[in-house]
Amino acid sequence: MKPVIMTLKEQDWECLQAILFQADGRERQVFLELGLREDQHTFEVLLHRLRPVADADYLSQGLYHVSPKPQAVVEAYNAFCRSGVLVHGHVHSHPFCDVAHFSAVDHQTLGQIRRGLADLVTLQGLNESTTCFQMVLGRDPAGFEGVLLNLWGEKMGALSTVRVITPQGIRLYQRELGEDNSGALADVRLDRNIRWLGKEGQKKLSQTHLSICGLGGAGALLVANVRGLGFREITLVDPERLEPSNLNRFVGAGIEDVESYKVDILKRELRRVAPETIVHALPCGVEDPEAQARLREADLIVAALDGMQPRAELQILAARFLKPLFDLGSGILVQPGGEIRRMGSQIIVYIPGQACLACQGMDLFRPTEGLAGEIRRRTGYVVGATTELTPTSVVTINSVAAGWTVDLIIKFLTGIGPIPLYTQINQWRGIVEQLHFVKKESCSLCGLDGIEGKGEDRAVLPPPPFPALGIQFDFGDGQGSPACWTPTGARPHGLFGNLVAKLGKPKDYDRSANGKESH
Amino acid sequence: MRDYHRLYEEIQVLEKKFGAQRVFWDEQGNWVMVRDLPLPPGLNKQSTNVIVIIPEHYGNGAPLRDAFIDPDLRVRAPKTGKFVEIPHYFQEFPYEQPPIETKEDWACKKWRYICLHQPTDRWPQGSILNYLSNVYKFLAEPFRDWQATFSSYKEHP
Repeated sequence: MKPVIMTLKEQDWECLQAILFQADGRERQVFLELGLREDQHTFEVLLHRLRPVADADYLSQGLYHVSPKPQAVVEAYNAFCRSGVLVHGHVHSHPFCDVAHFSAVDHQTLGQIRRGLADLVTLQGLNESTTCFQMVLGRDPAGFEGVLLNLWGEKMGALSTVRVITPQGIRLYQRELGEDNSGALADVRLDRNIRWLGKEGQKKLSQTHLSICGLGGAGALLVANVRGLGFREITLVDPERLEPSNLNRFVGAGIEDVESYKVDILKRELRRVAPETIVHALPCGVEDPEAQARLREADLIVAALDGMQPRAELQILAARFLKPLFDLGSGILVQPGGEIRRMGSQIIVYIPGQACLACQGMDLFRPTEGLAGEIRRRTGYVVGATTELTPTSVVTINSVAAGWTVDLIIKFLTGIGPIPLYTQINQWRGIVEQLHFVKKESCSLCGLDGIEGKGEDRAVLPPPPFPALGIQFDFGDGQGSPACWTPTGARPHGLFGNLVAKLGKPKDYDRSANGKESH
Repeated sequence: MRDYHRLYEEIQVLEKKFGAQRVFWDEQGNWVMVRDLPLPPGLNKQSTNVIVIIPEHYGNGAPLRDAFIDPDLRVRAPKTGKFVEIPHYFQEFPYEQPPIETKEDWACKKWRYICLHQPTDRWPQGSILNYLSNVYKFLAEPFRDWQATFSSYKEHP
């Protein structure tokens, strides 16, 4: 059995407390739609949506008991089926005590809810890995008991920790205190940190798994900034090898490291300062399954990437798994004549529950960079790398961006100060601006119907109906061999080859009759 | 990262609407095709095959943008009554890099690109069924101003 961690946004936690503990002192219930993340050691349930039971929808309700009407339960089941998450949750309060435990009556009621869910899964043909999470809360925020069960009632894990993601850091409520690692704080290497952050602040850093994606100019300097801070675990993700032109800003690398993976060089540097730090060096892109799995385990993600595609990937992951995301970008805008127009960086922060990167002006889902990209190409605007068009002083921009980002990360994790979500550093003019963007309710990522807390998506598309059609495959190359089709969906002759297979030979048409493209 | 749960459900909806024998898809969810989608009056054909390209992050924020339809569609011009070219209907793929495969792949198989970008992927406005419905509405009145429906009309009016 693994421990279960429940992660939720601050506003959901406050909402849950407000619903469950009201002035009349009666028990109340809330249904939960929860995402799931599973790794070797833990289950994590992520709150996607709350479905409170209205007072009018209780069959009976008192100071020591509560029972919803069957209709309310069915509505919660239906909403769960539509949501696409893997865990159906149920929480009720024991407002008469600080520390709550499941009672015999609770076990009976919750068993009925679980069996109802099992029937629904069979009827609707839902994913059989659907699980059931049940929780009871006392007046003390840490006075909870919770279990994760499979559809057959077997206990998969017991709730050990509730993690609340707030704009001032990650708040932990633990049923039983974990291993005391205060011994590590006596380490003389952390002395200067403790004088600044205090023991509690340093302890928070020492419990954190930080991940850094993109080890270009800014990313490498970021690693240099964090290596002495005492993080428990660090994941590095970058598919590139070191080039000679990187040496001007790649801390710790020498000429002998050229052609080595950047992640390996920085892992070595991290371990030189703190051998006890667990470092995962992943020489791959952020979309790689291994990187995805490791990033899902991290407490906080830093993105120092080029391009929107990997940024979009990280923003989606951060939203689905409720991870704070710090995105930094830096660059120089040089006019065709060589005159510098802009020089600086920006740090955009996504805290689950707050505005996402898209709501803060980042156009994540464009397949091309559009006008901005064209301007960048024409004027030599470069993000995080040097080219002939970029002055060599780019290292100074990266240093400021990396240092500023680490400062924000520390403030966030330790709660020593508020952090702005958007910081723009204009190094050319010496101006730092903090912008505030309002979260859009219609946003597909962080809005009301967004994806926050949806967790893993274990759905698999059904096999395409080609074989059942009994049509000869024609990949447009005259081969027409069914053997070319592989059940894994590989397309040996391209997407449109498969389509031809289904439709028969392409219709002839007079290309000249089509005229020119119109717009 | 696509939302496969949603895509699975949408395929089921399309099968209910059009019949299972007319709906096809790629196992990895790169595209969904509907065969013989009825066309509105005023065109030179009564139906077309439509392939909707599913963006990499569909269901997680990326709206539908790209579709291919039959290559030989023409619309009757309101003034002259002659069949003419349809706006936003391209013989050549407009991006430098198509979302998947190469320009030649689709061109030689004689599909033709229609540039209708939905502004959102939120359910249900941003669904595949709604996209197909919008394609139908667009082909019924291709010379109308479609800025409110398709962001491509804002980008390239």
